[in-house]
Amino acid sequence: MQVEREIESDVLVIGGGMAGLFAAIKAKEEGSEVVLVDKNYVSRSGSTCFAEGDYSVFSTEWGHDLASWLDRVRVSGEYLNDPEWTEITLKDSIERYRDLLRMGVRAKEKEGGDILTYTRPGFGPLECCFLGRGWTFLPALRREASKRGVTIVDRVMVTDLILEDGVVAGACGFHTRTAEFYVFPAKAVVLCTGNGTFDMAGAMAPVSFLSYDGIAMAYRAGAEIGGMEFSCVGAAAFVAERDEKARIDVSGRTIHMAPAHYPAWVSYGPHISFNLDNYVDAEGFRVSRLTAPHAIHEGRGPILWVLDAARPEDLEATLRDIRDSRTTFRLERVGIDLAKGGVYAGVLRLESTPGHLIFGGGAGVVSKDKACATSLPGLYAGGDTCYTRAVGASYPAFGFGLRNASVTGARAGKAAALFSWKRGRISIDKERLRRVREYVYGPLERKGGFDPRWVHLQLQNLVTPYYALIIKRGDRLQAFLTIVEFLRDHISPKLLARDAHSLRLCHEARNRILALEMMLRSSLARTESRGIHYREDFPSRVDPYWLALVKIRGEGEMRVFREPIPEDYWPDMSEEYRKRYPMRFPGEDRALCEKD
Amino acid sequence: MSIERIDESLCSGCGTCSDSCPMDVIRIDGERGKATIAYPEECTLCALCEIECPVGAIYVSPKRDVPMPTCFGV
Repeated sequence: MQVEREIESDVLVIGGGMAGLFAAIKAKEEGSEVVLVDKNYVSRSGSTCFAEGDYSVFSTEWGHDLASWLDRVRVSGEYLNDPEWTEITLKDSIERYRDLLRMGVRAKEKEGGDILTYTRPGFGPLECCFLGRGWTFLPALRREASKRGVTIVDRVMVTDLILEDGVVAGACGFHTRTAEFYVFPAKAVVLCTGNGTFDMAGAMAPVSFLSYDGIAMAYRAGAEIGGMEFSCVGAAAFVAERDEKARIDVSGRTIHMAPAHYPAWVSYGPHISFNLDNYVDAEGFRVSRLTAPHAIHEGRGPILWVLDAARPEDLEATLRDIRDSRTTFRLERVGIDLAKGGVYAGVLRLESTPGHLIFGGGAGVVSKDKACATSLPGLYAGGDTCYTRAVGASYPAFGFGLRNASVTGARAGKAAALFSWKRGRISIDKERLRRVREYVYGPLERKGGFDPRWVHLQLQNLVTPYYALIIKRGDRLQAFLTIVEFLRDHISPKLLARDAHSLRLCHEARNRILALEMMLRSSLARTESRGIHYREDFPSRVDPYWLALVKIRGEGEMRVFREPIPEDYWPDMSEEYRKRYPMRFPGEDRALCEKD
Repeated sequence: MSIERIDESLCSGCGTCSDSCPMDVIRIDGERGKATIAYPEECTLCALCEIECPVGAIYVSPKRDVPMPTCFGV
């Protein structure tokens, strides 16, 4: 029997990336007793840790125009964003940036002292600034939280929320090294556990620890989840107008370089692909990050990366970024000298990477107000866990994810603190705790069963091929779902843990299976294409029927339902379709002609 | 092999690498006071351990050769 530890608080924050640290700091500012728990080491965790460092600050003082920013998010998000939330995340951003400054985090400056602002090729006109790689600035936030008296608990994986009389009363989990049982009675809980990935190799970015933990535990507790058909950054499907070649974004983060035995090595090279967009397919056609998957789908792979064609200033910017992030040694170790140019037998990553860095509010636990409250009383969510719809069906510009994490984290932390004032001391029913404990330690008690690493491999092989979640189709989605239901019913309950470390892997596998079911069911439900959700069998937007959200709730079974958005937020329906939606999907024109 | 070696003659057992690993690959051996590679198969090559090690004791190889896990993990 594992030792039981109990840590009481007013506000429990789960997850220690940008959102979680802001939530903890802001809740503390309100005078609450705050506990911040993470399954890794706070400041070395979350997608923030491996964030590129782009941070979007909106400020009229910096010459930005609110109306044009809002319009950009609306059009790129294909009208599924909540404009009120979009405005909040823009307007709050300068305050959050000032908070960061006070903590000693500064945006990179140009010569002369002005803040360097920039845009990334192919991602529109909204500029951002550069905070540096996540791991370089997160320690400042951890120090700030500690200084203010936040209790930080590292290496404890929270598995489940605990409810008393329908109100969240805390959470519990286990230490990933000692296996001790942790109970956190709390008057309010903030989920900041990010989104997830099925990429166990960290080939896209080394965030293989992201396993939808918060979304899964909120779902199990009965909270409303939404937008999961968009929980896949790999799937942006945009075409510039009149471009006959279909463009499907794989988000471009990854370059598989031939000399590297394994892609993660160079693929997580900073900004290489963002600054250097020089790709050709096997037939010699120029392709972009956006067109690569379809080129491969059409049999024109592999994609080559032609460095010789790069502009010298882009190459120089890339090399500078690599130096800044202290990762030059990685290229040296695989024998690549970017300065020499050359053609690399590199391809863009074709596999989809379900939402490890979902764009700051496009999927997750539904927020029902502007304070990040969820449908469960006492439960708040921030960052990528929180479905604010501050962004719509796609990624509007670089820096939105990190910025929105700071904004929603801060709001969630503050609101949770205010909620906690109204509650008396929490006591958790012992019988309830005993049942949760059985669930938590089940895999450790078992004599035989399935290895969680094997399950992760099955999941990775199942859904990372592009034809699963980048280029979707109803029959394939149904086939994947059939297998996921099998994993859910027959494998998930028989996972075997050998020690505390693999117990963590077991719970991660359970959460991933659950999230995958959500993603597949939501993708099946949305019988159209919109933003990063592309379906071969429904290759155009369907207005006004799908000016609607897909939401999920656990009611014995997973119930999926459509919720129309208010007509106030519809696009101008008198405008011609192609004007409403400047981006074209592959197969869309033909489908539209047939309909006409 | 991903994280390939920790030079024990240099390692002071400070625990920085162990803290920095988001996959929980590295542990500190309490008895010897040295960092050890406990779960190499999960290394994602982020190289934070190597970047952060104050004495340069860690080498992360660019090659990753992970054995295929079977359903029973052996």
